[in-house]
Amino acid sequence: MAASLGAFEQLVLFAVLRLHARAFGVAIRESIEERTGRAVSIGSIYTTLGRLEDRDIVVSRVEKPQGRMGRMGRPRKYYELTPHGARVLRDAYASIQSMAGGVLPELERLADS
Amino acid sequence: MTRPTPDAIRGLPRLISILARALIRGRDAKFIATELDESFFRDIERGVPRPRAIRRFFWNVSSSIGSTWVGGVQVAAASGIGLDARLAVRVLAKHPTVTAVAVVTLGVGIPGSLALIHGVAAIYGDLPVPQAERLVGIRHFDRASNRPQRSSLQDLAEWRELTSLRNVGAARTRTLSLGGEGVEPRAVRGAEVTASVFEALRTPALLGREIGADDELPGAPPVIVVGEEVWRTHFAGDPDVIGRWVRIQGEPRVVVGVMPSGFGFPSDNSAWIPFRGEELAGRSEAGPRAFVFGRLADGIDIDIANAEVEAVTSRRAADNPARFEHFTGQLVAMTTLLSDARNDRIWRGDVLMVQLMIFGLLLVVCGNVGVLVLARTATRAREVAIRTALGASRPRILLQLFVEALILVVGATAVGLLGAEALARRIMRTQEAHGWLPYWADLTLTTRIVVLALMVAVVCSFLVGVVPALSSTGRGIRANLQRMATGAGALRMGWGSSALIVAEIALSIGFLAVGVAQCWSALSNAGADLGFDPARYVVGELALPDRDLDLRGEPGGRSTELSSVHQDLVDEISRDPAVVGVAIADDLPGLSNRNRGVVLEDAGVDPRKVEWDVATPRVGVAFFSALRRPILAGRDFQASDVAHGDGAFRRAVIVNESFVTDILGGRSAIGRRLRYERPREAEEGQWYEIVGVVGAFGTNPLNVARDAAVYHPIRNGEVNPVQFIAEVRGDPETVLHRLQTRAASSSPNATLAVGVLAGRMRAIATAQRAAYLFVVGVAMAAFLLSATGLYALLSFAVSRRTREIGIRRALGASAVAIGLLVTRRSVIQASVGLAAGVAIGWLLLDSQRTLRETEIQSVPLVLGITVLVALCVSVAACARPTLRGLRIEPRDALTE
Repeated sequence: MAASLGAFEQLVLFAVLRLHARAFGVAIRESIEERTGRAVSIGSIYTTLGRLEDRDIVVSRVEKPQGRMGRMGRPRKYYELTPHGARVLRDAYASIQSMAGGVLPELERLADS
Repeated sequence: MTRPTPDAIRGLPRLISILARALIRGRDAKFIATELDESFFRDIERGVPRPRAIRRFFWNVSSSIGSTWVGGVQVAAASGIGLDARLAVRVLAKHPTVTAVAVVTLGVGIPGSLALIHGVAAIYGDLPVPQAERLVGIRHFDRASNRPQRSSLQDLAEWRELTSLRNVGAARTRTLSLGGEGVEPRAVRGAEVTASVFEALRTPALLGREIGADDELPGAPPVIVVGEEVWRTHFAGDPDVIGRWVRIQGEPRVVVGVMPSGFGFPSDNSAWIPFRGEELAGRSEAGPRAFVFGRLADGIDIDIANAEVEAVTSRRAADNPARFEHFTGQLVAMTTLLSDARNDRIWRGDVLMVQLMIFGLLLVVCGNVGVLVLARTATRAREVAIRTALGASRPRILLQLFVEALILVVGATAVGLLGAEALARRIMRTQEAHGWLPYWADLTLTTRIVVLALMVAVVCSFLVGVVPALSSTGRGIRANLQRMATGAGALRMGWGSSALIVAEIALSIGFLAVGVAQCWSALSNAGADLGFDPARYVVGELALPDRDLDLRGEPGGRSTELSSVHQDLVDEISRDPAVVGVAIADDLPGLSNRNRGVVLEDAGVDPRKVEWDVATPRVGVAFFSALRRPILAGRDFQASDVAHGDGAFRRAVIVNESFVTDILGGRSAIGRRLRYERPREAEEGQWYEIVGVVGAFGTNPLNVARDAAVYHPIRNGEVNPVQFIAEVRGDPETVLHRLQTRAASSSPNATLAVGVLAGRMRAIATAQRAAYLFVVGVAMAAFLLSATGLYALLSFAVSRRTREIGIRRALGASAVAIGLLVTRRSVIQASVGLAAGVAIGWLLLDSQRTLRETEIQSVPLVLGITVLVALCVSVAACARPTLRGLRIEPRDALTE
């Protein structure tokens, strides 16, 4: 059985995917907030990423910042999806798509009624 | 004005982030803290308005702290909560004594701490009727006396005009003397009600119909609606009861309906008659007091209705300032209106205060169990330290100890709740017979109280498990391991816990002494000769409503009216062939009597205050002769003794035999003078003269050793309500209903309560026994609690000093020396507690010496018994851990 992912975990993973190799807490937070309008805290992002890292879904690396990006000169922790993580996210998204397939018009109709 | 740049305000967010770092847990804490302030600056750079950015920053900080802690607990829980639970069960089973003590203590403590909340919620809950939350009571509140007022029918007439309320009505309780052909005669607790009662309560009749608006009209046929219980007992469940005629206070009424069981509005009533139409139309302020209520109109909330009631009261205050100046109109919950009248108003502040005290007691309970758990944790210091060394985080250790405590406390609470439910069912069964709770109050457990108990259990789990665990895991692994290496325990016991145990012992001994004294007194009084046989007497109370005495303009009219009522009562009852004699009084033999302090004039010495108070019943002039009580010396009361008018001082009094023997030491009483310690207005500066001595007549059934009484004469019509007592031949139960009917017929409008004296006395004795048992129970519970503390302390001492004891044993220390070493601190605490307890007990007992109800025969003896009991319990509490200390083998202790 495929490992399951919560809704917030999926949001975080899509943000990590979107940010490529430059995904760290603040950037992930902004990405989620811009696209979903949902307020999230740095703490919840790191807690979620820590849990996902334990499940081998993401991998992290710590880098010293350079140039303007590293304005405070403090190390940052960047995250990337692992191949296993990519499969888990793909399966989770496919499950949603599969469940949503064919019923979206009905959903629209109900929502607009 | 220049706005500060982001750089200018950079310092504060950074500082907050650094501070927050201390609260953020987990491996990524430093990254989170770094990025908290960075998020803020990026918000500013992105053009987010500064106030919003600041709000977002603080939300981010608090939410981050919260989520890292929740995440940590989730991880810890997911990684081994099942293991923790299994381990907890094994640990609890391994220490059965500690577990049993904790289960009993918490099982009683936690449900017990919520008993008051539950009881008040039951009394002030909703009536068992549809949409009960929309029912409201209407009343005036007197700001001057700070008390709610009973309402009149004039108030009802005013409030019926309110537009925000529907079905506004009134009810008042009345004892109804039910009789008639084929009906077993009996007094039933009835009520006069308006027809709107049944509309407002929305409870349909079981048979027939409810009282309707037509029944209130002047000249309408007199009707009655009875409750299911009355229908079954008095009408033998007759299906054709509707239309049957009965007699109420001697007047015929037709039964038109039977209300279902469980309907007892307004106050455990089982028969209802309509208010007389002329009363409702009369708008008399001097009329009977009643409960007035209504139902909120559709779409109206209570605030709007309250404003309207207040506006009406303001208008009436403007019209009649003398009466309404200090009044404010008030809408209250229906049960508040009824319960306040029943309980003479339960003050919410008092309830809150008592509840806080109970929670304080619960804290003590938790403290003691916490010490027990601490002692057990101390024995596991090595395990904790090794687990920590192997990588278990502090939250992980705390979670494990919390799970242990949670299983213990929740288990104890569940056991306690089961016991509470059984007790509640028993109380409800007793309540059905005695009716000392409102009919709507259901004490069986509700979902709300169970949830509340479980919430309290979780809080207690923190107190019992996590707080001791914090102290046992907070010193760092190195320190703990170093202490263990030197043989010392990892924990210390503070003076706070010692003071707690000393205070518990002292207070519990004080109250235990009072309990012992009361039980002793009750036992010595059981079966004592009261000087008469209460089973041969029927007693009753007759109260005339104020409206029937409302004879304004006629001097002395009230007294004249009452006098003739009382004479009619005596005459009517005397006519019964079973009655030997009947008399009136304001206090009856065998029942409670008013006590007053007496100052006695003695020849040759200054007037002295008698050590204890005496009963001071007022009796009719013919009281002793009618009831055949022999005058042992001097004379009986005469008509000339009461020749003066109301309130005037009357010199002659008669004392009883106990007064002569106990107070006068057997000297002659006739002609001796006495006065009261706190004289009333008419008595100021006056002395009473003893004109006669009468035999014992049960003036103090609670304690025959303090039976002294001073009888004062009264005329008919001087008191309202008046008590009457009739000596009867044969079984008084068979005569009871006949006398009730006769008494009711002597004054149809009077409120009447009749019973056999022996039954009333049994009820008082039962209440007294319950009160004594309560005092003893609370004292014993408090003492067992302190014994638990002693036990915990000793367990702790033994567990902490195991290695030391082993070394001393190896060096040849005797068992006595080891015993003293282990118990020294507990012995000191117990001794100090006992000494303080004896002092408190002495003060409490001494203050009770003058009470008539409880006889304190010997304070030293009572205290001696109490201390003996306390010592036995203390020794039992200390025995097990001390023996454990003595059994420590040097080899085992040194290899631990």
